[in-house]
Amino acid sequence: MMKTDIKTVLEEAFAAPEPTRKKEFLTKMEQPRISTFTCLLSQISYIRKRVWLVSFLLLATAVWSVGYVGADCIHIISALIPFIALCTVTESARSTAYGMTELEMASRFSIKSIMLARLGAIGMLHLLILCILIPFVAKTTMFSYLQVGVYLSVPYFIVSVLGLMAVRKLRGKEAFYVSMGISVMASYLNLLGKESFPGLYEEKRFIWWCVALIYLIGKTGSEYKQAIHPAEAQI
Amino acid sequence: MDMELVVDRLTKQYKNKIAVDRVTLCLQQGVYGLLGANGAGKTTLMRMICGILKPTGGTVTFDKMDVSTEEYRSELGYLPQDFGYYPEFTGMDFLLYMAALKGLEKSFAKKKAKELLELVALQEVAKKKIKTYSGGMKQRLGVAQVLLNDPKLIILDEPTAGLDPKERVRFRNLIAELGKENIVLLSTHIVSDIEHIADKVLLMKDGQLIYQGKWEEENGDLEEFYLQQFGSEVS
Repeated sequence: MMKTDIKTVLEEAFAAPEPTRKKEFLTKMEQPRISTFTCLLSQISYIRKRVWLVSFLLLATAVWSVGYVGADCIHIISALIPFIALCTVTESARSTAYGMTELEMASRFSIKSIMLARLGAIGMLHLLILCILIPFVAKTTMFSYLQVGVYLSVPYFIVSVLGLMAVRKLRGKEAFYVSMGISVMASYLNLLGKESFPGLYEEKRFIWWCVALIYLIGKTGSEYKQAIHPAEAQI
Repeated sequence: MDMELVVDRLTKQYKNKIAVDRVTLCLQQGVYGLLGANGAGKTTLMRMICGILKPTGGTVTFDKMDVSTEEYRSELGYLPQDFGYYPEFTGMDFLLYMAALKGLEKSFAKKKAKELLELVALQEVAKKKIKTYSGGMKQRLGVAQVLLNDPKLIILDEPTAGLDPKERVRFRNLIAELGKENIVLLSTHIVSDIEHIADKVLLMKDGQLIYQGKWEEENGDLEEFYLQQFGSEVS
């Protein structure tokens, strides 16, 4: 109590001096910064909600088809996969489509790291979806886990390669529409596959599926590299 | 501490055109006005100084930090001639996003963003989507993002485009203030902007610097000189 009274009296008796050279002092202080890891992690929150929503909706539809369609679910799920791949393609093109590239390129963190962070997060999500689907589909069909993994991955990477090529060559909304067209076409061909290509999933053809997958993975990597490289200021 | 931007024989050559031709500059604290007609190479030069475009030859360093380093970009604030925004962003969202890319810690970024929105008189519309903003408001938001990381090197490409006369006067005062403690390089077609705020003038024509230095009264009228040099390109 006594100390509070003394404090009050002192405050009343003596005015605090006005701050001098406050701005100079403040500018000398370093701004609090985040680490590269924290920045990259924060990029996940900037992935559009529709990417998560579409991915989970398609997963739910795929799981439903396993329960209600039986062995033919492989065709239905293969037809849904292109739209999952479309999420990655459109996210990779977002900066260019909305004119944010220059601002992002002039910032402290390299745009290559930022794009890799975002696409890496989406890639992990899609890998998780695949891991969830594989045992469901394998149980319903006669295929092994490996076979299911390959059969579902090929349409994903076909759309990724063609979509990224479209995004690289075209600008703005046109790239989105073409990528969507590619996904619709891939989906349609997968649905047709059952009737038009009855031997598509035969054991003897599996080796060609594996060759196609390896080629497509390599090509997707190359397309992503080209997508990121010009965005990385070519420096 | 004296700061210095050194541009040494910077060149950018495309297939059949030299956009920037061996430009050499040494800029210290102050405001530099970069004048030139359309196609003179101003934006190309600025993009190379910001590390967005890879030069064909030459180097750019700021306080001995090369343009390709994260440290250089930490000290940089850049306003492109045209910039976009993600459609779901409000003014505040945009500044927080840019603050994350510039490596600012979140709570600090929020305070800084609020201050800057007040500085550019956008505090009333901070929570509104950018797509509802007028051209002038967008431009002011662009200026705000430049200042998030308290940059020492400020590059502004046509910053007064879209601003009304009152906003332009306010902007000039802001630039003059910034130039007291930082290096500010601004490009414009508006000669009066340069006359009012630039300490030194850089005139660019066909990729080359044809004049750099203070524009003294004995040199005559700057606008007349500009029209003489750029004549039919301007009219």
